[in-house]
Amino acid sequence: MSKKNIVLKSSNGIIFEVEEAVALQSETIPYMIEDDCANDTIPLANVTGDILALVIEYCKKHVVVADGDGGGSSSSSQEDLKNWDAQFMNDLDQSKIFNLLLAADFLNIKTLFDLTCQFVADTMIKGKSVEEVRRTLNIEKDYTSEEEAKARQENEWAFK
Amino acid sequence: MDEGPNIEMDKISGLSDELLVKILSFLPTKVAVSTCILSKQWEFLSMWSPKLEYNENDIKGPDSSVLRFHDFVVKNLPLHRAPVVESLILTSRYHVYFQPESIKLWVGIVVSRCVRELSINVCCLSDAPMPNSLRLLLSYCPVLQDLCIERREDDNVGKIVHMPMLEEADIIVVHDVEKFLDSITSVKRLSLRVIFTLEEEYAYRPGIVYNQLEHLKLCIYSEDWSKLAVWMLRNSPKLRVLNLYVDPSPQFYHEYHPIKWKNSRRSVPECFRKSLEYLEFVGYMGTQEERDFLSFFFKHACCLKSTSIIDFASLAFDSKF
Repeated sequence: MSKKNIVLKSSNGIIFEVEEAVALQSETIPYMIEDDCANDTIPLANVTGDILALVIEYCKKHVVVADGDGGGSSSSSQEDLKNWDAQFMNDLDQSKIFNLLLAADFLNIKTLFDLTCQFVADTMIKGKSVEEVRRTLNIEKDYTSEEEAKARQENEWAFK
Repeated sequence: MDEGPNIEMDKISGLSDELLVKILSFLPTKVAVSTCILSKQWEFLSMWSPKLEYNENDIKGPDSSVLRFHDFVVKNLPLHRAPVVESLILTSRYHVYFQPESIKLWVGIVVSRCVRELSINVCCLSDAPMPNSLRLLLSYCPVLQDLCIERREDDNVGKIVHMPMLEEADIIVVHDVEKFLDSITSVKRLSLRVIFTLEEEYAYRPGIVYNQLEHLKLCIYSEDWSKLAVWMLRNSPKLRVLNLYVDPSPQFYHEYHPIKWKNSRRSVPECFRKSLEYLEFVGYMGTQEERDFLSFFFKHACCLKSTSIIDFASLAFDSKF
């Protein structure tokens, strides 16, 4: 079976050529191919080059494992992949993480989307105080003190 | 197409509410609810989360905190806004707060929203048994795939009739197990723990077949467990994995009577010949019954790929089942 390549173009015009199997982890790309969005090149207007590079890095890593071990993939490779995922996320700054989340959503890559959501939930929200979460996530407090007290009171059990 | 592709997003508030709800669904419900005070945008987001887990054991502090937790569930569960509720897990230690009628209402809500996982661990000590309507609700539940039920003597969950999509069940029953087993014949994975031995006369009757069952986990809790085991094996023609484990607090009151099926060729379960590949036996104590079962097993199970038998003594200090 000959390997077919797919060409992806980021919003800022950077071209990536990847194997079909890598690109097809996205459930959006097949529709773009079918729709004949482009003759050879698929333009991704919502994803910048640096983020697309990350997405491709992730997809390449995951396609190898899915191919290599077939159905009975060993637990060690699963374990390796998990560690790789953790390291991959840890190396990103916050703005990259949010943009990766948007890209995974747009490209409909479920495992990457779930990984990113889980990472945001675990590292930016869970186990942190309200003030810390606001600071980490750059959330502007727009409640008046009374409003905040009311919201807190109505959901009091969640703060114990 | 040209506008806005290069906007770099560095604030979470730039994400749509839909994506924020997704993120919340990866948090424990309690933490998700606590995000309501971050800002106005977050105030009601957790009301859209498709996963709900209300666990009273998470509540620290005096009884008044528990009371507030119960108030919250009673008030908010009916107002939950998610159009699809994937899972509802409700755990409560106190029987006084949650009434069967409320539970019925909640189950009705989540069933109508395509619930796939439902676990309700609530102690209802009221005299009324579980309402019939709840039983009817669960019966014929079209999409429920995962059910966990712990039965008491006087409830009537056993009369649940048919759950066509149920794939995974985790069941603890006190009696009347066969009535219940009748209704879950579509399971693929079953974990079963029967507290008392079945009444001979109406147990193990023929006619119930688990055509989909591939993985059976059976707790050895009381004497004569092997009868239930062999009955299940005979009626599960596609079983691949058998997992036996001995309950750490067994109640072996009666003397064991050697079982007749031991050498009967006629009654070798079909799965022994065709599908059973894995056996795990955790907590093996070497009783006569266990030895009889295993010799029957090894004599006839001809597709076996792997077996693991772990001695009870080696588990004594780490009895996590």
